[in-house]
Amino acid sequence: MPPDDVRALFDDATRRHLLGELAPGVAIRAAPADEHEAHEDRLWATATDRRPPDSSRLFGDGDRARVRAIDGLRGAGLEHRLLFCAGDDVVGTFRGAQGERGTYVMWNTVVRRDLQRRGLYRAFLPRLIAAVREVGFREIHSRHHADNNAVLVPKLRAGFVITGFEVSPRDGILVDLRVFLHDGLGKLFAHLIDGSHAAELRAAGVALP
Amino acid sequence: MNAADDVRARFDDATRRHLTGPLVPGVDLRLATADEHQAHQDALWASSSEQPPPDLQPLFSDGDRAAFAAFAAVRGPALSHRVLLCAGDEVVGSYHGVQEDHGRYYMVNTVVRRDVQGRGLYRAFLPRVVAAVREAGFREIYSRHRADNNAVLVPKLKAGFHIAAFEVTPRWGLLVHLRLYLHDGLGRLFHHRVDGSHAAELRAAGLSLP
Repeated sequence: MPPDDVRALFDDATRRHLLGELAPGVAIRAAPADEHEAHEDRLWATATDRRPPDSSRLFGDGDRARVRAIDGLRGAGLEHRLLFCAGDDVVGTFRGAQGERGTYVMWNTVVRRDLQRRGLYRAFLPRLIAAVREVGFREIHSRHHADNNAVLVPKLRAGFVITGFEVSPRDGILVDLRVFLHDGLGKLFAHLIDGSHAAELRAAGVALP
Repeated sequence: MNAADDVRARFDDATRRHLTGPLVPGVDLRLATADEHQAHQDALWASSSEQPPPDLQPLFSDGDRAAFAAFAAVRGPALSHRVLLCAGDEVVGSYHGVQEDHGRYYMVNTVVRRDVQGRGLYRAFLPRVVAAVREAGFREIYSRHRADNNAVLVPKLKAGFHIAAFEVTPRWGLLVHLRLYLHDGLGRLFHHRVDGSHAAELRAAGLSLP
């Protein structure tokens, strides 16, 4: 499929699954990067008391320019930048993007503190999964503070599984979550945990030990 | 020359200087095209002591494969190294590494023929990759290994890589992530996350730590 067709498919799935009403009084709209970033920064300031340190302060101008140039070699990937709006107020943001090897990465979701725990994230999650699945990604990946139960619980309920732990300079101890959008990959993951699905996987042609 | 050309030129130059020519007596490094590299890598897997992972292709339909290829095409090619380790006319090893986002470089795999393993090829090769990647301007190198692959984990840890993550993947099972930070500040922040060290230096550099 040519890149333009993939982008069209992505945009269409975004429109159908992600834009419009999310919950009574809250609607989702797409935003350009600058607008999204301004709202995200503003919301971070009130959404949590535990912002990660600004690691960009570690880098000199030369270092930043060099990494920007290296990253810039690859074209822009598929990306969602969404705003959660209550009337004219932006009360939340979401950013997710194409990752490596057929993966979609949920980078972050920020919801204004007074609207947290009202089911917005729980309502958003299945819509995002539907949009990403329809485009053809094989898995969705996200990383969270290991003690962020407010996000871990709804994600695990939505079918994400814990696939790793990581120490990140910026964020500390993280848990990696994934939802496999391809049945075979999900079965193979489960097989590695407890040996299940062996017969189905062999029947599908996977040479297991 | 624009910024992209500059980056490519710097990468190619560092590759030529560090990843071609003699590696150890009797073994040279040379660059290969993707097809040539893949053919040698497949052949080497069959003779290396490492257990090749299961082939997942039977799980995917033609549609799945087409979608996967389409995603890669959206972004275009990344900077990559495809290097062969040659003893005379014979290819005895292969290496593949590739650019990822945020200034990160991923050592995808290194395969060495069984009969030349344990002779220090990997130990000699590793600092050359690190030098090439550092000089190209990346901030971090990472790799993923079977959790029981001490033959690779030990030389990498000796070369300054750190264990940064554990992961369970459908294809490979339990993996350890190793990382080498090529930027001092990031390395210090990583250590700070592990045991609280370097706090004063990091604060002095402008980081607001708790």
